[in-house]
Amino acid sequence: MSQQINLDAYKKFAAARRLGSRYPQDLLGTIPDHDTLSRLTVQSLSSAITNVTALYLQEGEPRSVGEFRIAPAERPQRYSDVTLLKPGEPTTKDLMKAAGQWIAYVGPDYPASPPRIICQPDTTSTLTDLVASSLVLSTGHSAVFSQLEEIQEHIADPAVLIAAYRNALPSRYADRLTSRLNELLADVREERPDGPWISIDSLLRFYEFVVANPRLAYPRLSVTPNGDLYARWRENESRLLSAEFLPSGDVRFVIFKPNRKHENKVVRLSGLTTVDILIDEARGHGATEWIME
Amino acid sequence: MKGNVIPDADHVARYCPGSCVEGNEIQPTAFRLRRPQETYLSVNWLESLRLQNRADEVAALQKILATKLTIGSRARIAVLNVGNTRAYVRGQSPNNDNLLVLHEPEDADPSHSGIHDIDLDNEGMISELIAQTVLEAHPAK
Repeated sequence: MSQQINLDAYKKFAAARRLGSRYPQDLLGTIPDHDTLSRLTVQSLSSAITNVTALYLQEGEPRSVGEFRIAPAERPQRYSDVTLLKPGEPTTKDLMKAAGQWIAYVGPDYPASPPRIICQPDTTSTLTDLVASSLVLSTGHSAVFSQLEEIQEHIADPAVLIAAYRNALPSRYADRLTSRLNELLADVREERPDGPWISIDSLLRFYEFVVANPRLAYPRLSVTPNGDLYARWRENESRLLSAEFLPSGDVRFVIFKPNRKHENKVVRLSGLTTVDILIDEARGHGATEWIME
Repeated sequence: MKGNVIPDADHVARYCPGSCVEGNEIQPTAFRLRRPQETYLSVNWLESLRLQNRADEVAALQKILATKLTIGSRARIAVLNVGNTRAYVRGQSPNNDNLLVLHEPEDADPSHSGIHDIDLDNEGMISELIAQTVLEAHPAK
């Protein structure tokens, strides 16, 4: 049902384009609104767009690049296909610069609303046109997460990433963690106007760890002077795991654990590992006893 | 005088940015070197301010910091006892690191001091240990 609605809208839009119409307002009205779009699954949306592409092929090759930008050949697969517009309303200059590309738009109501990925038809389209056909990319769908992960390194603003990943986090503390990360981002922006802020790559490594280990307890979070994220699970002075997520994918960790033969002694060790096996290191030292719920 | 050793009985205070604070708890990242500016941990020697009590010392320090740094709204001032911190790090670090706390006065900041000899290869561990010795946390502004 959802797919049909979406496809119908694009068909009408395509038909109008074939007749030489320029963004007729009555057709814009037939495109699903944001709420409808946000309910579509990624598969149905992708399928609808694929069908539209097929429709175009049946109707002949585009006569000019500009003419057939109205519907994308395919939805963006990588963030390198997407131009990120900074939070706030994009200016005409921003739109002109991104002509014909997929753009990610963070609206003025951010972070209440997630970032949207939008196909920009051409330089004459208005922001209203764009928003009318935007794809809301925060549905919690795993494919969305995969896509974001794939295109992650091209996003310049950690705020966009924090909002986009909210639904990928364990639901029991997704809001709290997202709020904490936004608080940290506000802190570093206030205190270090010229940066470094929170490293995007470090943030992604942290997300990678949390998403892969959904039973993790909520960590204390802070930011190193380099802008790397530092997570800490501390039960008491002798049960601690801290992890500094380096942009490279490495993790510097510190573990404090009780000495099993001497009650009043603590074993302290530190090391360097990679984010994908950090949990194995933690498990090997018994730290999963206090970092997991 | 520059380079004087600060007595173990005295106290130093470290500016902790809001991004190194959760709730009122100072996180170990507050005790990481802010490179390249810092070659040692910058602190202020509270007793050298010669004030009557901790509240006055903190108030004076707030004024000094405001002239040097962009103070975050959630930033804190962490107070350490010199001897306690040194002994704890020496006793608990794998390499028995022996920190030195020296007076490093500046023209506009005569109480400025530094915690020296932090093993950069083991900075994560040392910062965790120092964080465990924080006695007090006060608003930085």
